[in-house]
Parts: sequence; C-alpha cells; structure tokens
Amino acid sequence: MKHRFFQGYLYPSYTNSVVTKFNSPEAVVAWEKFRELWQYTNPGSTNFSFMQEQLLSEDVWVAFDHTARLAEAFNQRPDDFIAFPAPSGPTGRGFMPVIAGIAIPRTAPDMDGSKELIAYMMKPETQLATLRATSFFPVVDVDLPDDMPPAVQISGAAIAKMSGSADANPGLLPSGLGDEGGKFNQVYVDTFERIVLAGHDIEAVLEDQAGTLRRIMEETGAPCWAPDLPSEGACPVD
Amino acid sequence: MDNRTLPYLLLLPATLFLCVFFLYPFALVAWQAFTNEAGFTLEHFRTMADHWKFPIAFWNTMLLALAVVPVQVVLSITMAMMVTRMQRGRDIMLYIWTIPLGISDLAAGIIWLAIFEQTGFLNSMLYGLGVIEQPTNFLSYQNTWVIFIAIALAEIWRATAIMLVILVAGLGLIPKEYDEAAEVFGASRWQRLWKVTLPLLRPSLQTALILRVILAFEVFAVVAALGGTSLPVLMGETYNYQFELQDGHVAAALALVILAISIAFTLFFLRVLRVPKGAQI
Amino acid sequence: MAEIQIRNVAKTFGTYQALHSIDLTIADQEFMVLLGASGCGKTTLLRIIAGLETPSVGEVWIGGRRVDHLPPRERGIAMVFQNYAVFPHLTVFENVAFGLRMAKLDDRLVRERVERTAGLMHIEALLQRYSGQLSGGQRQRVAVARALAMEPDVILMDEPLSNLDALLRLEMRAELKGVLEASNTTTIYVTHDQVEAMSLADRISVMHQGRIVQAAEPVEVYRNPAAHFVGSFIGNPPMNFITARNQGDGKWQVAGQQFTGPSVASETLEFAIRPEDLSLAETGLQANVRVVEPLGAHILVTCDVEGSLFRAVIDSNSRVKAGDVLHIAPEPDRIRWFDPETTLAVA
Ligand SMILES: Nc1ncnc2c1ncn2[C@@H]1O[C@H](COP(=O)(O)OP(=O)(O)OP(=O)(O)O)[C@@H](O)[C@H]1O
Ligand SMILES: [Mg+2]
Repeated sequence: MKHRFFQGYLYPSYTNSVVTKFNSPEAVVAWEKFRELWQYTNPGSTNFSFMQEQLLSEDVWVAFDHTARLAEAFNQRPDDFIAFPAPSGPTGRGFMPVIAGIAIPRTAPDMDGSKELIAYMMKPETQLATLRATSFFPVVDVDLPDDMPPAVQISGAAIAKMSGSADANPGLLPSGLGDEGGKFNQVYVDTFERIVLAGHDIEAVLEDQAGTLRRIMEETGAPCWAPDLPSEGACPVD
Repeated sequence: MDNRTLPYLLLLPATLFLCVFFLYPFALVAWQAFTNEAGFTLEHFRTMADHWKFPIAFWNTMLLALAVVPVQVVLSITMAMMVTRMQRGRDIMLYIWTIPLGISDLAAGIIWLAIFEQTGFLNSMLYGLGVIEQPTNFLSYQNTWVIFIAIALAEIWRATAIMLVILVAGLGLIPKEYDEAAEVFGASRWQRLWKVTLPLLRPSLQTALILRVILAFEVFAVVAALGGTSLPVLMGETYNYQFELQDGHVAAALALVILAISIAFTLFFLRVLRVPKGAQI
Repeated sequence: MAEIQIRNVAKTFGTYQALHSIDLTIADQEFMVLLGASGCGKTTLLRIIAGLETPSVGEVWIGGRRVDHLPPRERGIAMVFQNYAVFPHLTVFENVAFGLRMAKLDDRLVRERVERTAGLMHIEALLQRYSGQLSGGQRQRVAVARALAMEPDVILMDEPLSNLDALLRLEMRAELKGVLEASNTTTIYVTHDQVEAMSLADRISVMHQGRIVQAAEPVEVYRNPAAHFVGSFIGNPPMNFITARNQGDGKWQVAGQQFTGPSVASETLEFAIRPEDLSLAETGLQANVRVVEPLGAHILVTCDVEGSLFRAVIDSNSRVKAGDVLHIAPEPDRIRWFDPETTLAVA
C-alpha cells in the first residue's frame, strides 16, 4: 500500500496536496524526511504486502497498512499490539478515509431491485457484519457494539482519535482516473523507488515524474480531489 | 495421392494451427505496439524506452541470461556425460536430476525464497553455525547482486535439466566408436571433448541453447518471487504494463522487444552451431 | 621395435566368455592375420591390444613394455575400425590428419603425409568431402589412410577391405602389403577372407570360439591343420573328413580301403584329405557322384563316400556326371589324421 501512503498521508501532511504540489519545495522536504526515516525500516519491506504477517513474525515492530491487512495481528495477539493514529506533518495530519459512493446506471434493467440491494447494504447490521468479517469499517454512521473482534476495537479507537484530532487533514481516494489508476499509482511508487531506493536526486526525479503525472491528469481530465482545491477541468500539476 | 502434394497436405494442420494461434496473435500484438488512435506510431516504444526502469530491466535480463546460460551449458554437458557413462542406475539418476523440471517456475522461486529469506533455511543454518549474529535479510533492495545470485541459482537449479535431457538424447546418438577412434589416435580426454564429442553434439547443443536462451529472456516468476520489484526484468515490466498499468500498447512493445532478442539469439546459434551438409552423423 | 606379446589373456562379458586364455607372440614387423568365423572374438582381441577393452585376466606387452594398464594413446598403435569410425564432422583431409594433429606435427608435414597416404588409398579426390558424402568403400579407405598416415609401430586393422569390390580389394591388398612391408610396422590384420589371409600373412592365427587353434605360416595352416576346425574352415572347398577304424599296427580302414596311419590305440580316427589331393583311379574310395560343377581348369565333384560328403577337384578332361560311381584315390602323403575326441591333429 505504498502508493496510498504517499497519496493520502505523506503528501497531504507536507504539502496539503496530492497532485498540484507534487513537484514543490514542500514535496522535496517531504521526500527528504521520508528518505531519512527509511533507514530505520526493514529493507525487506519493499516486498511485504500484508503487514499482519510481518508483525506476527516480528520482522517489524511498527507498521503502516490498511486496517483489513492488520486485523490478524490484533486478533491473534491483542495484548501485544497497539494501533495509533497516522503522524502529522507541517500541513496537518494527512490520512485517507474511504468514502463510498453508490450509484445505479440509468440503464439498469431492474431499478427497484438495485435500490433494494443498496438499502440492504447500507443497513447498520450489514455494515457491522462486514466489519466483523473483513475489518472494513462502516461507511454509515453506526454505534459499534462492545462484542467486536479485538482488531476492530483496537483499530477503531485509533481511527476515531485520528479523525477527531484538531489537525486532521483527510484526503480522498484518487478519482476520475478510469483505466489510468494504475499508472497514477505507479508515478508515486516510481518516485519512491528512484528517490529512496535508488538514491536519485529528489528535484530531478520530481521534475521528471511530474511530467508523467501531468500527462495522466490531462489525458483523463480528472479534476482535483481533497486536499487539493477543486479545479476547473483537469487537476493541474505545478 | 500424388507424392508431391502429400507432404504439404500433411503439414497443413500444423501450419493452420500456427497461423491461428501464433501468427494471428503475433499480428495483433505487433498492431498494438505500433498504433494508437491516430494510426502508426512509435510512441509506445518511446514510452517504454523512456521509462527509467527500462534500461535496468533490459540489462538485468541480459546479464541474467549471460550468467545463467553458460553455467547451465557446462553443467548440463558434464552431467550428460556422467549419466551417459554410468553403467547402472542411469535412469534413476536422470529422474532425480530432472525433478526440478516438474516444478513450475513460480514454485521454484518460492522454494528458493524459503532458503534465502530472513526466516529461511540459509539464515537458520548460518545462525546455527554461529557464522552470523542474527538473521539477516539477504534479498533486500540494498544488495541486488545477492538477489541476482539467488535468481541465477534458482534458474540453474530449475532449468538445467531441460538442457540435460536434450544433451543426453544427443549423446546417445553419437556412436562410441568416434570417441574410441580419437582415443587411439592420441587425443586426450579434453581433446576428445573439444574435437570430437562437442562438434558431434552441435545439433543437440543448438536445440538446447536456443530453447534455454529463449526461456532465459522470458524469466519472470522466479524473479517475481525472489526479487519482487527490486530487480526488474523485461517480462516483469511487460506484466506490469499490461495488468497493473493497463497499457496494452507498451506491454506489446515490450513483448516485441523480447521477441526480437529471442530471434536474434536463435539466429546467432543457428549460425554458429551450423553443421555443414554431409557432416551429420 | 614392436614385438607384441599376449599372455594368457581372457575376456568375459557378463557371463559370456568371449576369449579363453589366449597366448600369442607377434614378432617385430611381422604381418599377423587373425582369421576366424564371425563372433569368434577377433575384434575383441584387437580391442584388448588397442586398449579399448580391458582383459579380464592376462597381460599385453608391446615392444617389451607391459601396456594393459595404459590408455590407447600411450601404446604407439593405430587402428582401422571394423565400422570405420570416420569422423563425420571432419573432412576426409582432417580425418586422415587427425592423429598427426594430435601429435602436434608441423602443418607442412601433415599436408605431405596426408597427401601421400591419400594417394596410396586412391582418395586424393575426396579430401575435401565429409564422410556423409562417401560410399562405404571410400569411407573404409579413409579409415585405412588415417591409420597409415600415423606411421605407427603397430597397426591394427579390423577387416579393412571388407567393403571393397573384388577388383579394388585385390589392388588395395597389394598396395597395403607393399606399404607395410616397406615400413617397419608390426601388423595385426583381422579378416574372414581366407584368400586375403593367405596372400598377406607372414603368419595366420586361426581363431575358433574364443581360442587360437593354430598360429603358423599360411602354407603350414593349409597343409597341416592343427585341428579339425582349421581344416574345415580353411580351403575352398574345405577338407574332406571320414571316420577310419583301427586295424592295429598303424593300419586304418576307411570305406573298405586300408591306409597307413598313426599307431595309436583309439578305436577310430578321422581321416582327412583336401579335395585337390584326390584323383580318379582304378582302385580307391568308392564314391557316388551327386553334383558336378565345372570350375574352368578343374571340375568340382561332390559325392558320397560311405555316407560321408566328399568333394574332389579333378581335371576337367574327365567326363564325370551325376549318378556315376567313381573310385577316388587320396595322395598318400597328404592324408591327415584327427582325434575325434579332442579334434586335434594326430601325427
Ligand atoms: N560388449 C560386449 N558385450 C557382450 N558380448 C560381447 C561384447 N562384445 C563382443 N561380445 C561377444 O563376444 C563375441 C566375440 O565378438 P567379436 O566382436 O570379437 O567377434 P568377431 O570375431 O570380431 O566377429 P565378426 O567377424 O563378426 O566381426 C561375440 O559372441 C559377441 O557377441
Ligand atoms: Mg569383428
């Protein structure tokens, strides 16, 4: 989930932007800081994917990942692990809550059935059942009962603290990119690999990758999303 | 049936099959690589070549082939000669040596990952012997050369048997009189290998090398298992473009580059290991 | 100096004994022919001398040096293989030059020797061809040339002319004999062509079922076969054999006739006579003529003498035809006697 870390946590916390200030002095600072931080990570982490495994095998002690990919660690050893909010930077505490939007295509053959399905999915019980099974948190307002699995209890508390913090700076998932979502993510991963792993010059890499990013934004015409300010047409890359 | 048309008739099914399942997809891939909405373009090749990982992936692929194939040639020839000379237990030895062939390349990669990873066998062994103070991560992006060696080892382990099988069959076709004649006429073991056995083995060597080198350029799953993204190769990049980045055009361009390299090497071996007319066994 | 001694050599393949205790000395520069029926062990013996096969027991000495533990290339030999073994990946030139190149001879010398031997074997025109482009006989001559080019102390030839037509064979035979006589080579030559054996050999070793039954000069082998097998194998048509009964005092009764023979005690002996040592006479063995075959100057008469098959070569003037009853008389000093138990000759 590296790309999500850069898009939803690193960039918002340092530049208050994801796309527009991709190549900016603030971004340079962000990458410098991240490169400095990187020396404390497990070098094998470039190939880790579900951090619960590494937590349980104690290859790592501190991990960043999606709640669903950490659940097993909390469930198996609830007393050994704690969850804590994402850290904050110069421009607040960036994080990436999931906002789900559900729509029905105008051409759907069974409009009523679709509506019913949506209503069912939005019911608090359904949402709680999903949470219990997958650690995907509810997207509607529900009160969590007390008998939730440890993973939900532990990470739920941290999420609440994070969202409720004074400097909270939530960002949205990239949207409007269509097929190009993969390439968009690749820009951030490439930037990371070049700067942090291969040790390339930060300014040069950002300059180069900004070009790729700009092309993607222009091709898809995707407008900006939070924390970038809304744009007319494609989200600009400075 | 006329004797002159019969061969062509017999070749027809195979030819049709190749046209439908090779030439047609090939044409599609080539079309994808060279066109965009506007028509003919080299844009995809430019995108491919401009990507910062392309030269790295290209050279990694080349170096891997260069490191792995010669070792495999030497190993498979040595093993084939050993098997051929065995009086008994030949078949059993051959079966044992070819076991890795039955394992998919991804499984092979995972087996070697279990050896090299931080919680793997190699670490436990070195730690148990007191060579290292604590388990280390050999396969990190910081020492890509270790990843390189691990991949090379896994590839050698996994795919030497393909060459071995071909060479054992090839050696079986060479009557032992030639070796004996050379021995009588004063050739040492080494000279017999270079002046008699290897030249007579050229056709099999050619087949084995072409097969092996093409496979070497397509190396993918073993690299994915052992190196993740730390050691990019052409095939991995192709996969990435096709499925992660959803860009079939650039993936097609990369596929064509791999194809071109394969063809170049095939022609090279066909030429270098050519057996003159009349000089076959 | 390359005398070859084979001392008590035996060879078993698994449970099959191919050679039984062979003892044979071949003098320096001698031309020894190994003659025997197919499968009697000629090639095996040759391969043991060459070092391509290890003897199960026994020793091989060449030029006063024990060699049976040495690899072939340290034995100072050259060999013509029964199946030629002409390298398919080399041109005829390079095939003939192979041994010379291994011996690191100067390029000019190699060319010279190759051309000379190629001339001897009539393959000059083929020097640039590959063996796949040669006929069986041509390939065989390349194999001989390759061995001759080495000018070795010992040359081992396994049926080197078997694939040539009669005329070419005659010519090559003479050529070979000349070349080998002129050189100081000790030769062992395997064949099952007895005419070839007779014409080439200083001595012939007749092999039978993995044993050497007789090693002697060609005339001796022909005139005084050491065993029944030699008499029946050598000579075309072969020797005639018939049972003789002991009459005492060295007198033996054969088909109603009395002959003087060895004074031994046994009940019976085998009486043997070569077909050309029989002639028509007033008295003699009574023979019923079965077949008459004209041979030109002579006729071959196949007949029945008291139930035994007899062949006689007689003058073509005699008007003999099938169904006749003849009397044939053996030349007394050409009669040979064999012990039916041991099959060996009795003096
Ligand atoms: N490698 C072997 N394994 C088993 N038996 C063998 C082997 N080589 C030879 N023989 C047997 O030994 C016997 C002698 O064989 P050899 O080749 O010496 O015969 P030969 O006299 O050369 O016959 P030919 O005139 O047909 O060439 C044969 O019965 C043969 O089957
Ligand atoms: Mg033979």
